[in-house]
This record gives sequence, structure tokens and C-alpha cells, in this order.
Amino acid sequence: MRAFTYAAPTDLSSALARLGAPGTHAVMGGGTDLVNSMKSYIETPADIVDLQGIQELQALDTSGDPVQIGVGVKLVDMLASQPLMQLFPILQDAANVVATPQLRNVGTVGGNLCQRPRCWYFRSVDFNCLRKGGTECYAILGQNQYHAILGGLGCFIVHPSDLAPALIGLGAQAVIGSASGTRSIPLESFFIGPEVDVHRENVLVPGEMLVRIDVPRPAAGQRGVFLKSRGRQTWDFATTAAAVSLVMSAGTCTSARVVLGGVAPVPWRSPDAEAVLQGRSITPAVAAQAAAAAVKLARPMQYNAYKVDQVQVLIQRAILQAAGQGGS
Amino acid sequence: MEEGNAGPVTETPRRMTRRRFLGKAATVSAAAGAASAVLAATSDAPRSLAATPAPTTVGIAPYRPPVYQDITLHVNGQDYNLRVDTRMTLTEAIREEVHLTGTKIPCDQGECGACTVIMDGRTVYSCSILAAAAQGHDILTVESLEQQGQLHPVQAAFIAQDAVQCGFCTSGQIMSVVTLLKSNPNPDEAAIRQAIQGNLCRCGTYTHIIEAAKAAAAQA
Amino acid sequence: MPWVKTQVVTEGIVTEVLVETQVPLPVWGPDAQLDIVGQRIPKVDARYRVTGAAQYMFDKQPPGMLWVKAVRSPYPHARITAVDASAALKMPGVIDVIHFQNTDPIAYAPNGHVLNQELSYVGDIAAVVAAEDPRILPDAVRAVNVTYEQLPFVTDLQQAIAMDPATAKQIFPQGVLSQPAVADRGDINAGFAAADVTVEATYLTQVVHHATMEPHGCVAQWINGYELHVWDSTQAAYGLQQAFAKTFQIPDSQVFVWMDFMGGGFGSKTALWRYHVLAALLAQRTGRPVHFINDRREELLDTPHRPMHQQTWRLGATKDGKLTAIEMKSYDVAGAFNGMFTNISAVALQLYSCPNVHTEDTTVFLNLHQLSAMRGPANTEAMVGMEATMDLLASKLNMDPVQLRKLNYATVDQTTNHPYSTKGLMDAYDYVTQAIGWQSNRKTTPGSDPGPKKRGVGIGSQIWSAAGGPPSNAEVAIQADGSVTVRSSVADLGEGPKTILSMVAAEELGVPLAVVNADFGHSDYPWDLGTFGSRVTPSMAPAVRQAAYEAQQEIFTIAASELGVDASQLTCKKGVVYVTSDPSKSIPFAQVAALSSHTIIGVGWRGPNNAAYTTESFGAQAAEVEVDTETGVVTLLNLAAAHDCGRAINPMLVESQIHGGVDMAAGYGRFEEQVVDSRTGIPVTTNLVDYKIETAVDEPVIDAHIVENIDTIANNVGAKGMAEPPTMPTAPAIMNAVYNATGVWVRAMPLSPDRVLAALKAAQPQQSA
Repeated sequence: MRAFTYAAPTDLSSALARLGAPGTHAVMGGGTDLVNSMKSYIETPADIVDLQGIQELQALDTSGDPVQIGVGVKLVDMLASQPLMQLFPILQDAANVVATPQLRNVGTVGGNLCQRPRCWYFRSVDFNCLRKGGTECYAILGQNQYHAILGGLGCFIVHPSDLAPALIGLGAQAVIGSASGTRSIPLESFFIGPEVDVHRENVLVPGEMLVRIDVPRPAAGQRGVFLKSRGRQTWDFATTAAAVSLVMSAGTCTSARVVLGGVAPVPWRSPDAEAVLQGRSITPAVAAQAAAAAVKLARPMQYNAYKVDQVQVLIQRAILQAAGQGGS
Repeated sequence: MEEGNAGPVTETPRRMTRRRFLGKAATVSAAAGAASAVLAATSDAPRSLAATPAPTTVGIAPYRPPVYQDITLHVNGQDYNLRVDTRMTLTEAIREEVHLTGTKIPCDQGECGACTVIMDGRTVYSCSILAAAAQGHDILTVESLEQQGQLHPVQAAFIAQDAVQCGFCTSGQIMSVVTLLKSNPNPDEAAIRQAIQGNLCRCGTYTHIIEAAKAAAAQA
Repeated sequence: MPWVKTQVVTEGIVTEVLVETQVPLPVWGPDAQLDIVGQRIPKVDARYRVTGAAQYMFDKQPPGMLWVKAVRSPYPHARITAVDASAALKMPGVIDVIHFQNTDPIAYAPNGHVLNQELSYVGDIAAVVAAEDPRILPDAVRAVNVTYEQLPFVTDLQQAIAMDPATAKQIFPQGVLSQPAVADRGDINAGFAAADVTVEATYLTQVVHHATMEPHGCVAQWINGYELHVWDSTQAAYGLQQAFAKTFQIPDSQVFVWMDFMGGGFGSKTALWRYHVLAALLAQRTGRPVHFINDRREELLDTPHRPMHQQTWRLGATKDGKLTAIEMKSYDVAGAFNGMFTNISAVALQLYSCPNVHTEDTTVFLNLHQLSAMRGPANTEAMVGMEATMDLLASKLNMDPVQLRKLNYATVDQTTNHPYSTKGLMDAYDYVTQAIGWQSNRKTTPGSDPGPKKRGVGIGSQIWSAAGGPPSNAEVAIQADGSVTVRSSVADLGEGPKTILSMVAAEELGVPLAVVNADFGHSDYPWDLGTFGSRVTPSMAPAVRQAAYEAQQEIFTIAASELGVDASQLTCKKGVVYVTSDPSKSIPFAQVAALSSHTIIGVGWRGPNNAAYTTESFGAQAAEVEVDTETGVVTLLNLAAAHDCGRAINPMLVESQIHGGVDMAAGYGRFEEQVVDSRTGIPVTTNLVDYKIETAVDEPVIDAHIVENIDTIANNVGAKGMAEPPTMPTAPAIMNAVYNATGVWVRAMPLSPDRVLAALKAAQPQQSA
């Protein structure tokens, strides 16, 4: 690692003030991605701001609307919150399949959403890829079995977060803080693709940090399912994932959110799939139609065509499960 | 990177992104053009790497001298006042400063589990936690388990059920099983596998670890 | 006793060794009355591993120690044109930087020199930095400025196969393809002509890494300026002692290599690697102990591995299922330098009875680290092609795959025409088929389960040289208090030689196991060839038994004079020496030991093998899988394994080896692979998330069964080697089970979801556009 100064402020405004000061800073939640990224020189901040002492960021308030989840809430504590899990079973689906117990025991919501990609060219000290400031994306002509089938442009990473598709499926808002105040944007707008900026995965600029995720309370008849496919049965990022949140009323889907993981540089919301489901009663044929719509514009790379089929399967299964039709 | 915002902003700063977009697009299309030209040549016999530069230091901050910090770690019930390079991880502090070498570092990336210690009652990968960030927490290593020459039931069970081969993953496995039994005193096979899912073993002790966990549970 | 030449087969490699015959001891046959041997006894040194007290090479930190890290080539083939270490040397705490320009060349086979100007793969060592604090090393390594001239390279097997020789010689002086090594038995053309049915298939078996939990490395220190002391993680302390001595041109007697505990080897730690030489060189230059330890990326770049093969198998058989022809043609990837175990012909020549066999092994050179043996080398890879093609043949014959195997059972070693000393393969087939529920769970029509999740079962077999043989030496020393030390350079990797050899010594001496202490892994002890090739049990157990017997003779001589009888009239059991015909006349073993005025040391060695027989281990495994044909995910539900290892000296430890082999091979079959970006020649699986090892939740339920066939011909302990065989049948069983479940062959390993989906898709009837 490059050497750094370390600070652990105990209140948010101190942390934000420090972030706004000159120099390169990185906020640290559980640190599991940041610390290991620093060992590979992917991140070389001169100053680390440890958030674990800031109570406000660890607040989990399930009493109001929206439900408020501080970015410092650990995944293990999300899973241990009965009210949260009962309100949003889709979050249980997602949090349960992140990494391993040890990583969920320190990893935070903020860290999970802001983690850097797992692209093996990006992660490797042996490649100076486009995203890291080099001139080439090695996945284009290289080993792209884990790369994007949607939304890639110049860079073909997939966003690695499991929580992100589930939270976007719930219509979550991202609250961003800086020394000059806070702003709230839809979580799906928090993530940006390479067409906007190939060097980062979200809108945060120096001086800003994610402080809270706000999730609207579920509507009556709202059900969500998150499914993830991966190489091993644990400790593995998604080859493909699907978050489906439906509001059902008298057998008809009145609103739908379909968000894909593992297929695009951002958690990929599919309005085309949602349009198929809107106002329909959910049958296997309708689910298949929605899944096909989600990948209509997919452009597989040399080795990842399987993702086009695999993600459709997950979308279909998630739709049917969310509609209460079981099957797995 | 761009400058920060001057005041409350309710939308993404489009002017900056568009400028960046145009710049990037130029780079992107050049890359795409280069890619299509090269595409035809991929099945050729050997190529030199003239077109593919070696890793440079682009994007990596230049050298900075070490920063040292005084920290206090609470390990196995004792306080240790240390002066450490801020880059020191918790595992390194345990091994090099507290001189407990039972916790190992096969991967140093949070990808194998052998560095598992118990922090505030929960298992964590100590290699992925800065020593400085471990202040104020209760840390237990494998060395905390044996009391006055008496092995912890999980340790004894690991021996009795032959759940140990090379032993390099063993400390982490034991800490995961110890933690499991605290919250689930009578786990079934599935629960035990879940508890050790984050602890790799290359020698293949999983099956006997399950037997050991059950034996230790039965003993309690 | 007379010296004879004996043949020793280790991992299929035949050597001839000159060895003194032993005074024969009573063979421990099936009826032997044994008090300790054969018991399920926990490992005698497990306590140190569960308490964290065990000191591995990784833990050694002698005072003044320096840490080192290598500057590594970013190119697959390059020549260093300049090295500028000035910036690194200016950093506080950086002590030394070495490279080919500022050191005398040290010959190192096969890479040329230990520090080369020409670098042959990504990760090859350009320079080494030594510093006082590991935290400053990564910065220091980055500060060393190396200028490279890039050279032509190849890292892709297909490119190498298609390459014209002139271009190939620009990369390697020998080109990229060797002449094939050919083996023949009978007349292959006649064999296929006689066949009613012929099948052919090609398989790609991938590079997998040993991925030992303890990385490679060592701590080297020069004592008094002339003695080299090395704490190592090694399977062969004695061999390393010799290699260090030769490299530094000092007598063997001035080198001490110690290994007390090591975190895995699996065949990757049997040789002198460059980090050994570099650590010792830096220790010499700096006058301080030096610790050279790989990080995980370096483990996955700069250590050996199981090689990649592209295997094409062709089988011919009569319509009744009798094999008439076996042909195997394989491309075997060595890496940038050659190594042993590229030739994988043994399975084709030995496993099944067949009069006509033809094999061709072509070595391929690519700009990657060279291979080495990895748990069951050659046979593990070849078993995939052999066993999957047998199932292909079975399906074409409409015959049960196990029936087909039994029909072609080899009763003798067809390469020598010697009978097998023991062969429990039939029992193994019977056990695993019963355990997996073959009759009910096998789909008579592959792929016939309704719904997207389909189940099936498959079988795999194994054969492996398991006789052991010299050189293996031990001494058994009896201390004045009657405690016993067994000493040898043999390495205990955690699989348990300390335990089983203590058991053998205790059994032979007639003392409780608790008084026996095994002190192993030191090069200055009686030497053993090394812990590899499943050779330790059949080689060291008789040697230890002999040493114990010799020591026992001295005890009896002393006791005889005390008791007024002849030594031949004495027995020792449970630590008491007594007159066999009158047990009331006795004296405790410890008391006898106290009477001796000279140190009682019995010396034993492994004698010759029985020249009239071939000793192999045999086994079979059956796998039950569930394939989600929509996502491609293969779940391994159950795995039944039955292995014939002769006598199981400690059945609990044998079970652990079965689990270990299965777990490793289940990863080989489903998850693990080295992936290389062939445009740049850079491996991309340099961490343990991308290189996927089986976890506890991926593991099948394993039913491990020992087929106990006490082998009284092989040696006087009745045991055969066992550590590697369980690695061999698993991947074939998985591949065959996936075929049974889906009706589709997936022949490129690992059977990852993308490969399974691609194979399923390719097998579907073509859709109109």
C-alpha cells in the first residue's frame, strides 16, 4: 500500500469536513474492499476516514416512511433486523448471498454499494486498464466470460453489488453528503456507466460520500425476490442476478421493477421488462416475455453469451416467485 | 478529478459530465477502432506486445513515506500499546507485535479465511482490517482458547475427529466453529457448513470438521 | 546382508536403486495380532496445530530478519536491458536489491540461472528487494525501474499447435512442440480393425494450481559464515540439502534444512526453487536471516501447477464390450521449461485389459511457469479422458458402464506381465455403486429427468503406483527414561506420517504409543527420499519397523542378562519386557533403557521390492450430480469413494486422505482453472476469488470407504500408498454423471456453468433463425 494518514472521526460533520479538505481521501466502512484494493495499488488515498465511530451512519430506522438505512449499517445487522427483513424480504435474499459470514460481519451497506468492480483486468496489478487510467480495455478482445452483455462502452465491467439491484428494485434513494450539505437522488441514478465516466462507478466526486439509503415502505401487495447465479455456492460474485419487485393486486401486476446484476456496468434496470409485466397477470409465458425483453439489446462478447440465457432464467424465476407462483 | 460542488445540488453536474463524456468518447472510439483493426489479427501466431504497454504508474499516487501511529489493541483480554505503520493490518499486528503466530495469512485479501479471528463476538478476516481500525474492539485469537493447559472442547474435538491435516487453515476454522456453537449449541450439518463457508481448506478437512463441531456440541 | 538392485516405481517413473536387503521380520498379515496398528488414533501432533503453537516456515522470524519481494516481469517473454534500483535503495529500510547484473551467475536448472536477463513468463523474477519491514516492500518493488525489450511469445495452446516451426524457434530454441513420445503394445491398427464399435472424443483438461494454504518460501541464514540453515516448507528436506549444497558449492554436511510443520505441498514443494537460492544468496550478501515468502498473486503466477492437456481418446471394442484397441494422443503443456509428468500414457497402458494400445504425448512449450507434479500427476488428468470415453463406449454399446469396466478388468500388470500383489478394484466398484444407489439413481436414458433440474450418476476409477521403495531410512533411539524418538528426514505434511510411523514403532517395540515421539523433516536425520508419490507409508513403515526391531534387540540383550535368560526368549508388550513362557519374570522397558551405558539407536531402512509383482493402489468413485440445465450450475450431491490401500495403519487418517483427494478433485472438475489472457500472455486468475477452490458448502456428502486388502507381498507391514489415489476418479465421475443427468457431454474442464450451458445449447436441435 501507499502510506496514508488515518482518522476515525466520531461525528458526520467532522468526516465531511475532512473529506472536503485538500488531498486524496477515502472513506472506510468495514474496509474489506478498500484495504485489499490498496494492497494492489488500485486505491492510493493519502488519507483514510474510518466511519465506524459515527453513530448516525449506523442508524437503522424501520419505523418511518421511508425506512432509513445508514451506510454504516453492517450486512449482518441488516440481516438481524427482523423488522427490516419482514418489510423487505428481497433484501434478505440479497444480503444472504453476499460473500461470507466474516465479510458480512464487517461489510457495510455503503461499502457494498460503493465497492469497485471485480473485473480481473481492473483488479490485477499486471494490467493498466482503461478504468485505472490506461488506454485499453483488455476485456474487449480478452477473457470476457464475466463481463457485460448490456451497457458496456469502451469498458465492460459489471457492477458487483448484490444489494444494489435489490434496493433499486425497492425504489431506494441515495442520500449523498458533503461539507456543503446533502442531496437525495434515486439510487439507480447514483450509479454511472462508462459512457459517463469510465474511471468511476458512481456519481460521487471528491468531498462527497454516501450517507444514507432511504427505502419507501412497501405498498400493499408488494413482493420482491432476488436471485443470483454464480460459479461456487458461496464467496462468489454474480455471473448474473435478477431483482424483481412486483406490486400485485387481485392477480394483476400493477407495478414492476426489474433490475439485473452481473450483466452491466451499473445495476441494470429494465423498463422494457417492466412494461411487459405492467397490468398483466403473471404466467410463465409472460415472465418469459419480460425476460426476453430485458435482454433484447444484449450484445454478448466472445465468451459471455451464456449470460444472455442465464439471466433470462433468473428473471423468469424471480418474476414467478414474486408473483407467488413458487418454483425455483 | 473534478472540483467539489459549491452549494446544494439536486442533480448530477451535467456540464462537467458532458465535457468528460466528449473527451472520453474520443478515447473510446479510438480504442474501438483499434480493437476492430486488431480483431482480425487475434488468431495469428505470436505477437510482441508493442501495442500493449506494461503497467505504468498512471492513476497511482507517487511514493509517500510511512506514517506511524500509536494505537492500543485489546487482544485475548490484554491491552497492547503499539506504534505501527498505519498500513499494518490486524493480522500483522497480532503476529509481529503481539507475537501470536497462530493466525495465518495465506492470501492477505480476505479470500481464504485462515486469518479469521473473533472481534466483538463475530468472526472477521483480520487481514482485511487495519490495525488502527481494530482499536476499541475485543479481539480473540486461537491462542485464547486453551486455558491453563486445558484445550477448548472444539480444539479437543478437532484432534479427536482428525479435522486437522496441514493445519494452516485450522485456526480460522476453529474460530468459526467456536463462534457457531455460541449462538447455535446444537447445529446440524447444514448449519456447520454455513458457518465454515468462509474458511477454505485445501487438504479436505471439511467433513471431519463437521464431525468435530457435532462432537464438541454434544460434549457441552 | 547382500546388496541388490531393486526396481522402484514412483508416480509411474521407474528407477533402479542399489539397496541392502533386510533381516526379514514376520509379515503383519490379516491375522496378525496388533495392539496399535489398525486403530483409529488421533494425530499425535494435531495439538500443536489446533492451539496455534506450531511454527511453520511462515512463522519463523529470527532476530535481524529481512523480508524480500521480487520485481517480476510484466511480459511473457522479455530481455532486461537496464535495471535502476537507485530510488528503491534510497528508501529507509531497504537493504539490498539484486538482479542479473550485480550478482555472479548461479546456474539453476531448468531456467538457466537463478537471475536471468531473459525472462520467460509473466511473473518471472527480474530483481529481488530485501528490506527490514514488510510494509515498505511493495513501494520499494515499484520503485525499481526495469527496462525490458519485449520478445515474441505464445501462451495459447491452439496457437502453439498451429504455429510454423520457424516462428516457434523465435520463442523457444526447441520450438513449441516436441516430437511425440510414443508407446505401443500390440498392433493398434489391427485392434481397430477387429473392433465392432469405435468411439472417439477429445477433452481439454485445464491448468489447476496446488494452491497450498502456506505460500512457498523459506527462511535462510548463514551461521558462523559457513553453515547454511534453512527453515523451509518442503516435502523433501534431504533432497533440498543436497541441492543447496551443490548450488553454493559447499559440502552437504554444512547445510541444514528443517521442516517441522508445513501448510500443504501436494507436489509443489519437492525441489529447490529459485526463492530458495535467492533467500540464501541475500542472506549471504547481507549477513542477516532472509525470509522469502510469496504472496497469493505470486503463488498463482510463479509456482508450478498441474499441466493442461488436450487429450484425444479412441476406443475400439467388440459388440460384447471387450476392448480391442485403446489409443490416446495428447498435447501436454509443460510451460516455458520442461518438467516431469507431461507424459500421461500410463492409464491407457495399464488400467484396462487390452492387447493393443498406442499413445502419443507431445510436449508443448508456452510462456507460462513450468509444471510440476500435483497430487496424482498424469494419472489424474488421463483418467478424465479414459473414463469418460469408457462411458461413451458403454452408451454406444448400450451397456452399463460398470459392467463394461468389470469386463475389461486387468488381472495382471500389462506393462510387465507381473501379477498384482493385491487388487481390490472389484470390491471398490461394488461398494461405490451400492453406496450411490446406482441401480435406482442412474438414468437408463441419460437426461430423462423431467424439469430443468436433472440428476444422474457417474463412475470413475484409479490406478497408481503404490509400492514405495528405497531410499527410506529411519532411526529409533531409546532415551534413558524409556521414551522413544523416531528420526527421519521424511516430511509430515499433516497427512500423518508422524502418527502412523510412531504407531509402527510402538507396535514393534511393544511400548505404549504415548512414549514415542516422531522427530521428522530435518535433513541431518536418516534420509528419506521425500513425501510425494504416495510413497511414505509403504517405504517408511518397514524402515521404521526395522529400526525399532534393531533397537529392541539391544533392549532384549540387556534385559536377558538381567533376567538370566536368552534374548530370544523375551517379548515386550505395553512397555514391559517379559519371558515369553513365564510372564511373571519381567522388567519394565524403561528400566532396561536406564541400564544401558550407550545410546540405544536402531537403524532401519527400506529393503528391496518384490521383483515378481507389481504393487498398485486401486479405487473407484461414484458421483451423483444435479444439473440445473437452465443456469448451467452443477451441484455435486453425493460422492462415494472406495480405495484399496492394503492395510490401513490408521483408518481415520486414510479417510482424511480420501476426503482431501475428493475435495481437491471436485474443484478440478467443477471450478478451478488458470485463465490466461493470451493477447498479453498474462494469467488473470491471480487471486482466490477468481481461482475458485471448493468451499464447505460446495462439498458433496462424501462416503469414504477403505477396501482393506492387506498386501503381504508388498512389504512386511501390508500397506500400500494412499495419499494421491483419491484425487483421480472424482473429475471423471462428475463428467460421467453430468452426461447421465443431461444426455450431453461436457468435455472441457472445469464443468463451469458457462461451459455446461454452451454444451447444452450446442446439443439442441437447430432453431430456425
